[in-house]
Amino acid sequence: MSVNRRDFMTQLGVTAGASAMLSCTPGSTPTAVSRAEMDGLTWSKAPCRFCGTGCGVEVGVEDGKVRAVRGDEASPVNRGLLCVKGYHLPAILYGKDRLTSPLRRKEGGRGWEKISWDDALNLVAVKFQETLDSDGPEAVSMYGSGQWTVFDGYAATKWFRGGLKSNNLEPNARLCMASAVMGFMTQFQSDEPMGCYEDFEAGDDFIMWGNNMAEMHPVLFSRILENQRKNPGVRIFDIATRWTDTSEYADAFLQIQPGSDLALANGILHLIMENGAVDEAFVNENVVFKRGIEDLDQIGYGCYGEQAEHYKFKDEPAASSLEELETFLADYTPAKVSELTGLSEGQIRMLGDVYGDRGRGTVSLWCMGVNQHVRGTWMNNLINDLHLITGKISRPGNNPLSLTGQPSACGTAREVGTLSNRLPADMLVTVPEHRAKAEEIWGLEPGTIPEKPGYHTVDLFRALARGDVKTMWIQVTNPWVSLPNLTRFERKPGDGRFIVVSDIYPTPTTEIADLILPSAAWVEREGVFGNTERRTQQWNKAVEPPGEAREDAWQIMEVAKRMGMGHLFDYSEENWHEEMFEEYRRFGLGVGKDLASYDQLKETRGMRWPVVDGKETLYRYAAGYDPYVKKEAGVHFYKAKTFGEKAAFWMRPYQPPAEVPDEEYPFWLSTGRVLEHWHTGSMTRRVKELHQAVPAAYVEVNRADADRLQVETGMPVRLISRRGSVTLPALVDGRGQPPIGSLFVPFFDEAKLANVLTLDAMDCISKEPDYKKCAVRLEKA
Amino acid sequence: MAKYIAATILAVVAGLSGCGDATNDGNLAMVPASLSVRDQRVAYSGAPPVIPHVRQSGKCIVCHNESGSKVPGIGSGLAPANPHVQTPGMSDQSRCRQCHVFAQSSDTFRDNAFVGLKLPPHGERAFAGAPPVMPHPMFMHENCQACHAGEAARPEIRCTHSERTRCLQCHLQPSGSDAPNLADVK
Ligand code: SF4
Repeated sequence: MSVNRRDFMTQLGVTAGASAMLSCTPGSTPTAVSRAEMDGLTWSKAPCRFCGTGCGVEVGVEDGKVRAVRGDEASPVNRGLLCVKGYHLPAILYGKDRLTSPLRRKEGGRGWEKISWDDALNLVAVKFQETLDSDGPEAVSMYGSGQWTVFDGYAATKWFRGGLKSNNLEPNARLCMASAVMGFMTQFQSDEPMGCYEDFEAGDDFIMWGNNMAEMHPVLFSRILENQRKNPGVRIFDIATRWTDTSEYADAFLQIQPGSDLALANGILHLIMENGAVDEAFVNENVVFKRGIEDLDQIGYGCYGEQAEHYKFKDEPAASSLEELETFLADYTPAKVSELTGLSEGQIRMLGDVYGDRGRGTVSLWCMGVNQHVRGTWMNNLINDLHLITGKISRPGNNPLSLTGQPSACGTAREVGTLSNRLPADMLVTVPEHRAKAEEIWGLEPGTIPEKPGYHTVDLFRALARGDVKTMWIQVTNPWVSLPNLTRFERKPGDGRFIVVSDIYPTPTTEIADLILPSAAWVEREGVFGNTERRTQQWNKAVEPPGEAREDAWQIMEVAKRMGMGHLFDYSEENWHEEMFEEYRRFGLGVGKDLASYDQLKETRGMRWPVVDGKETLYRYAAGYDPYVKKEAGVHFYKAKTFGEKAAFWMRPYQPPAEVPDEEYPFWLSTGRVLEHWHTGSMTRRVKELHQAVPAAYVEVNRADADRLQVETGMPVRLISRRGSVTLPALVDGRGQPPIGSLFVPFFDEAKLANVLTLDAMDCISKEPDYKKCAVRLEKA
Repeated sequence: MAKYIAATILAVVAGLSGCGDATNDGNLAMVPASLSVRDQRVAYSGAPPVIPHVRQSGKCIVCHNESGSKVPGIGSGLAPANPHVQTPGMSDQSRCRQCHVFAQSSDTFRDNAFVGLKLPPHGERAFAGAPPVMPHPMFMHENCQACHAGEAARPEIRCTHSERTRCLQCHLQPSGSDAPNLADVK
């Protein structure tokens, strides 16, 4: 128990001796020592701006500037801890090149001129209207972000679908989480994990599937390590294509061939069957078996030629059974899987035992390795399958827990539904009742929302390159660094398109824009994010944005008003955030996606939906936790209506990656992130400490390859793929170590673009590109 | 309550007996230099310091152990103790580089105008000679000795009486630091 200064002095006052001493120091008695008095700052709460962990931070403000942050000890997510990015949040607001006024590209294309907000917003409205008039609603588009607040994403989806009558709205989360979405949707008919962060304390075995959690979700990884310290039996299994910081802490490092995770998961299923570890009671009660299209020719990879431009694939579930599963899995013997993965049979059997052991809690964790995968939805299905067949799901310490990359990929991309085929709360534009519900809540004429889904991200940018899409508004993302196979999307102003970019700093994306709008960032505006574990977190504005910067949602609403669509945003000036949120909340009430009220969000460190009667839900579908489950015990997958309220187990075979190394391009290339930088680095590189820690991109080379090619750390080398080349320094024996024949390049560096090398092959179902597997050659530069 | 009163009387007695922190006149002269070194290594008061020495082999906590150690030839030759060994939720094998990073370059990508909260020189005292109140939160710094005792401690915050290990008996923590009392957080 702590004593603050006021208590201390009060207590002093009741002792005669002490009060005599006190009287010697008139006027010098401090009152309470609150944090504010200790440091002179005003503190407020906010979630971290960066990753999908959603750590709570306290933001310390003085003279209208953020001067410090602290890990919020009251946040159940991080309990006071942060990672190095979170600790350096304040400086992301103060880069000297912040965009502070709208900028229009000068006639002739060279240079920028400042214009007023009024002129800028009118220009956007005119350009959107012109395109609508000339080419229709399929030629306008908006490309947003999993870093959009709920307000930004909600304003965007309402304006697009309800105002412009276009579904050409996409978030960058397509590049990041779409496979996880499709995994949950195809199996549970409701998006987002059933588990939560309490699984990190409740679980015994943590299986990382292509997931460098130590760097990408560091504070969550700390929770696992803490569990392990308290309970030495806790184990971490690292299934990976390269040695990372995570491997260092793993009990077993299981290095597999790129793309062979599909074979491994099937191999584990095979062993579960063989070992009699199927939880038959659970399966009989809660699971149906499905089989989809498996013909490689029919599915393809969506990159080039005919198939790429007219990419259509619809997976039809066919009924199947546990008996058929046995036949399906017959091929995936430990011997065969060993051949495909490179693991030993013993290692595969060990994983079979881990998943099959009913006495131990098993948590599967994955992120980009599984999602950015030409068979990403399949891989998500298989991980969920492992938990369904063993009944290790919707129970504390037993869950497939998909980790989200961005701070509001769940809150904004998935829950608000800013993907091109989605509406809020798991609804789809293709379903008439769903459109009708949205039209009712939005007060629109029936038939307003178009039923045809818009372009998914890669297709959207291909359509822009072709000229089928003429006008695009980009917010809170930097596609000219982050798109795969970047050169394919090169763009020159004056090409008859009009591109608006809202951002806080100049980036390679603002460089190709026709109009730049300055945005307010993070605590410069009021916001709501939704993190990995379904936690909705609200924050208040703490400081003014610089210059004329304004929040993204405001920008959207102002353009809508100028296009005669002001009725969509008929909120009061003072309280529009709350009014908008409460309107949005209506979508989820009563359907298992109930969000907490705005009032409750203000008072708490976030609440995990479904929130019913003010109470949050730790484990979805679980009796005793989820208020929608009326059973006494067990689980109820009540959202999976067309599967008879059971979860679907999908059989998904192994198929090879889209591009594999050959004589000409002998190396595998994987790309990804580093702990210190956030995505394309536009914020973190402007922070001295973070920039100096990892100042530039590099290529990780295995020691044996380096020796053979006579390459050393720091030596410039050129990587060449079928699509482009980039020169960057080699890193041998670094933090991450790829195996022989593999390379890794982080993508944060706009001067050394990893994505000129990558391939825009996609998952056939989620349309998420594969940034993790392509073939390159390495030459000394 | 009785416990408190006893503790507070002790606190006052300790203060009067001249047993405060080491911010006496002799050491004050060293404050600016020493603080400016710390300032260079943290973005703001409370931020994790960057690592001032080059990468070494082995685990950080071998040298940065509970009491600190001598490391001839590296930096100042003294490895400060790990102040986080008692932090709840941080295991002793926690990843140090999750928060503390090496500087691999001295340039900047773009200029930044951020001005961080300055480090507090020392805590307030109720009256001259009283034990100063802790000027920083306890969280992550539960091991007072790590920064306030031993040779690696900065002179201006080095304690003259580190053998008296019950620091909280006399030095009060600011409210809301150990058990979050977030009344002042909006
Ligand atoms: S980046 Fe992620 S782990 Fe790091 S502080 Fe922010 S939310 Fe937490």
